Amino acid sequence: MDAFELRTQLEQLHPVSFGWALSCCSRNQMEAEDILQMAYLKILTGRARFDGRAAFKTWLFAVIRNTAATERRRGWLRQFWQTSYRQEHANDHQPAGQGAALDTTERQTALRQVLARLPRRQQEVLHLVFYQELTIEDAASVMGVSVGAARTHYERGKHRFRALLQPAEDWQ
Amino acid sequence: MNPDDKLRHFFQAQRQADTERVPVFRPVTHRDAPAIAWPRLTFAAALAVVLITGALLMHRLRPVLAVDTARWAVLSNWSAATDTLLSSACPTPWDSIAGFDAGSDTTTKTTERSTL
Repeated sequence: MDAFELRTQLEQLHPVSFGWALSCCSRNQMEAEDILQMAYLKILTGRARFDGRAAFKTWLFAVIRNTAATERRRGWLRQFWQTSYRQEHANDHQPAGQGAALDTTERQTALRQVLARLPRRQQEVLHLVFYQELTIEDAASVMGVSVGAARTHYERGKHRFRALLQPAEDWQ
Repeated sequence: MNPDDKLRHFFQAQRQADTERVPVFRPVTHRDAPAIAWPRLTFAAALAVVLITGALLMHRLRPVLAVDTARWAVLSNWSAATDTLLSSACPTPWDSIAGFDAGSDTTTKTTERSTL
């Protein structure tokens, strides 16, 4: 796949990639944009190479996820550095968690809060299956786990989601 | 509505909301430097300056042990007032024992020291 083709593919998948990056960054838009750009940089500079073993979208999502995981590991330091920057540029970007303001209903906010209480792996697999409409096999490939493990996360995620939702069923 | 449908609806609504705030796809090369670069560099530079200044100050303020050579020279020439008692030429009871020279060294050394 040449550079032009790569860019075309990335551009086509950009909206869904952004959704996935948001999910990997706890819905923080600024971080999601950074992660996305880092992932694109990795791909376009050849540090991440598409070998054709999986679908391009699956591979791209795996790169975004790995990039987010790497950045998360540096999270405490990063948070420290960015504090001053965010204070200075508070008007330039949406602050963390402001995505909720875009939701039109309180139900969405309530569901988001419920989802945020799930373990990361469960959130990821639910996002990949329901938001990105991937199969569990593809979700497993993105997450770098076996299909069995992904299925377990999926079932447990749904079960936990249901359990957490039970007390707040008034939105139904 | 079963939980799967709830999840599906929730995620579809979220997807809808996200599409409204998708950033423009920009080539990576045109992107600004990462937000963390400047604060990090500034902090690193400030830390380096503080460390170097601190090290220099500590080095300067460290007390230097001055060696008082004159005093040491005087001490090396000192001899006790009772040294003369040791250098007496009085015969000892064991002087008559042939080959016994245990005290001779002491006497000699004391004599040498007192003459200094």
